[in-house]
Amino acid sequence: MIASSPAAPGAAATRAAGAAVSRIVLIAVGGFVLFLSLYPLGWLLWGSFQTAAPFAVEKGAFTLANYARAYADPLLAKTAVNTVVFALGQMAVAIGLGTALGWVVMRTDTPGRRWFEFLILALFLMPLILAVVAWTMLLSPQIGLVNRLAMAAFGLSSPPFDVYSLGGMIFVQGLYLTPLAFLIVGPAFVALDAGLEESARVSGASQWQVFGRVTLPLALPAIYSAAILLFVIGIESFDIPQMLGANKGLYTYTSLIYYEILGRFPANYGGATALALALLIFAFLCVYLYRRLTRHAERFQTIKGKSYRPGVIALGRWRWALSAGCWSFFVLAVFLPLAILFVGSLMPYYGEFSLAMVERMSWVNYERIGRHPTLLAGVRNSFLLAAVAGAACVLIAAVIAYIAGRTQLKGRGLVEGIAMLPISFPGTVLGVALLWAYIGVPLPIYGTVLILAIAYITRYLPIGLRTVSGGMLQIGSELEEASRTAGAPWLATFRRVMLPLLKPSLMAAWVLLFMIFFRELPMSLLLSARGNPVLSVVMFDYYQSGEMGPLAAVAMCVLIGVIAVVVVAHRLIRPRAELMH
Amino acid sequence: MVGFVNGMHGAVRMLAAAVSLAVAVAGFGTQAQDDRAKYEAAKKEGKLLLYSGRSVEQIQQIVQAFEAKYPGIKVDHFRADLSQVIQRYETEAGAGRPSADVLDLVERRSQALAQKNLATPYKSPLLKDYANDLVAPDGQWTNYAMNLVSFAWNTSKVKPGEEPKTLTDLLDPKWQGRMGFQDPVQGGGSQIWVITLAGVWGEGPWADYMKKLGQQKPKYGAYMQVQNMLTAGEVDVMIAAYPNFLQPTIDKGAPVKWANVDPMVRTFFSLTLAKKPESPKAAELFIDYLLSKDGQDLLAKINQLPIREEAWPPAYQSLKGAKYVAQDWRLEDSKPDFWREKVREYFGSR
Repeated sequence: MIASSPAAPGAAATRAAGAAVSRIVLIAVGGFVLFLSLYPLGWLLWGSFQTAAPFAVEKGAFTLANYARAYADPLLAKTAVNTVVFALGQMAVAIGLGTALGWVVMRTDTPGRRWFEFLILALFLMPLILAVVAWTMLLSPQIGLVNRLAMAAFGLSSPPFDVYSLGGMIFVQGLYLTPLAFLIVGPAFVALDAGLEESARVSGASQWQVFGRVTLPLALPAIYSAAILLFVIGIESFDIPQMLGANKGLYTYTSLIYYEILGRFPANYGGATALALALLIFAFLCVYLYRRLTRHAERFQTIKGKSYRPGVIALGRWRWALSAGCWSFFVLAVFLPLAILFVGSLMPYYGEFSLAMVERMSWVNYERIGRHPTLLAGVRNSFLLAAVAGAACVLIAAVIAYIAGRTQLKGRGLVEGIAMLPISFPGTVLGVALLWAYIGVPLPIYGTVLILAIAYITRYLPIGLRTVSGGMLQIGSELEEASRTAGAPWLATFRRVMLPLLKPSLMAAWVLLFMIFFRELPMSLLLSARGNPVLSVVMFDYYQSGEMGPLAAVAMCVLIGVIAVVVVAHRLIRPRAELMH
Repeated sequence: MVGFVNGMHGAVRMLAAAVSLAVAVAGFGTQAQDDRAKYEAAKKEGKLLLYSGRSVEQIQQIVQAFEAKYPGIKVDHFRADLSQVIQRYETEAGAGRPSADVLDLVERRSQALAQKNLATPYKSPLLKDYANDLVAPDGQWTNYAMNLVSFAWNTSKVKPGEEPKTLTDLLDPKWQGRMGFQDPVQGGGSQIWVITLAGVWGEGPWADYMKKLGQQKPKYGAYMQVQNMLTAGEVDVMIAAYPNFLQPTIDKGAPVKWANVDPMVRTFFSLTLAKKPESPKAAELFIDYLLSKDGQDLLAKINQLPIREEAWPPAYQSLKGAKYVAQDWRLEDSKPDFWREKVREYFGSR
């Protein structure tokens, strides 16, 4: 790295060299991101105009029929409405819960807040498949435990809850996306100017008025960021709508795409890609909206050249009420499904909970997973991929966020927009695109874990970007200018000023990406190396085989293992973190 | 051979019998030598890559048994949904990448690969024990086990005597909203079942039945998802259920029974030898193994329905002599769009 030299005789030359270096770095990273995103999308676009899939035996020819057929589907209009309602609903649930929890954990003296921070991560580690299974066992109208108890307790004639409904889909998905909202919005509550809150308080505003009029508006860029991301995720999500909605005909846009690929024989890649490309336009619109909402970036700049750490808010008696509220949330979202999961891991087959079942319970599923030939390799691969690719993704995101937010480079908005595109595709479709894109490349990419790293970064860079850029908007440009005026070259400024100030956002992004990568499924399924699998695929194998017992057993082991790692890491990191404050 | 011999006079018949015995004995000798030679060659290759759509446990058991019988051949496998297995294989083959040596599929998929010239023809010497046209219709693939399509019910939700006995019983209004069905719109065994019955019943009665079945508002999902709904009692009856998929959970205590229904639609599990296998001899050996007595017994042990009916486990005895109807490809291929539209019309609007 270039050492920062004092503003002395050679300063002008240093600065010129620094500017050149900065341009080269920025353009290189920006170009790399454009490549990551556009190269596979190009294959997708090409495939959508072909009569046969790339690399298929049949010779493909140019056609528009894929589009004509895909968009003439009578189901499309109904599906579009479902999809938007679902996406908005789950976004609202996740943003509401995530923002509330973010404020409680980051800013208040609510008892148990350290636990909450930790439990939110546990929530995120729960594989969606199992979350759905657990909630089915709780809220299914036929066998749901909660329904059965409620009917017995209140003498109801029909089950009060139905997990197989739009409401059920929104509830479950919103619950499990809450950590995402929390990790994006939470840091914004810490990274703000305490002086603003203090002025409000001195002027006689109540605790809640301060929150509503000052704190919340200051966190808006992060909230917008999370909302747009969650909306896009809602549009492209597949697992929960498929498992809870499709059996009643509650299709979403992604289910239609999925049916084109896996739901018909032979698969209609042309139709699927044609449908998927509509999502592109949609993603562009979302990014445009976000850029408009945060246009006057300086309004959100709250970290300036003075001490800014906001204090902990004493809530008085309220803190107990809040604590109780949070605990009940976590009992509902984490402990109840975990308990169900544990019971499920002891069942010899997927069945209703009953006394007869209790007699049949055993540890046999744990013995069975012990015999799995590649389970341990899968855990190792997943862990390494999540850690390393996650870190790489955060770094790239930081540079792109910087280009988009801080430089005057031409096309900076375009780079940000294009980097956002891959997440708007369902994983299955992007997986196919990546397969086409890299299978022919004569480098050791396809068939190795490298293609998974590329896939994860390509698809989830937007999440890193949203997490980091929300944080970056809050940092006033004066700190950077001060550094530059003092003669520090760009790289040093980026490294010594921006990165440390961004640290809460960067850490949040890394944790987030770690967890997303750790459980990523649809692309891994298509691209994972044979005999060198990742954990999510091993687990999905069990799911597809209908073996819910071993699946629950794996999930229990993984959750316990991860919790152990997090606890140890927490112990190791905590003292240092406190010293820094 | 047998049919040919029957039409002849006594002496000639005896002579023919003696000759065929001699041929068989000689054949047996060379057969054993061939086997050993093939094993040696396969051992030199040292490894086998298997793509399969079977369950995790089944693959593990098959692979373990094969490796135990043929030490020195290490089997790696890739497991996924059949659509993904095919997709991966086709793309890898198209891009000239190393891929599977042998693919464990269903007959319909094997046939599609053969049509695309993505299979190596192979006729196992063990075919002599089987009706050739059933097991290896033209050598492009080898059938080794059956899949039967029936229906099933949860015995803790449906009282004895109230269970459906015929396919018509499924139209009883009492089952409305209480049944599960592998989504036929998404293809798979249930779609094959629906279309095949059109050939059995004729289009008129068939359309009438299927329309009414759709109006029963079954719950739809992937096959294993629906089967789990059945064992858990989320649905009381499963349409188009496979006895050979249900039996393992029944053995573990699941309160489920399947029907011996008339007609029972039959499809095959099949093996395709890849177009450019890296380990061709090991792949042949694997196909031979699953056709051999050991292999067929192993399949029976893991509750499958091997081609060799004598090997069937006791639970399936009642199926022997059941009225099978083979999957009707000619019908499917004659107007694929028509069927797709019909299936969607009956079962797609929910």
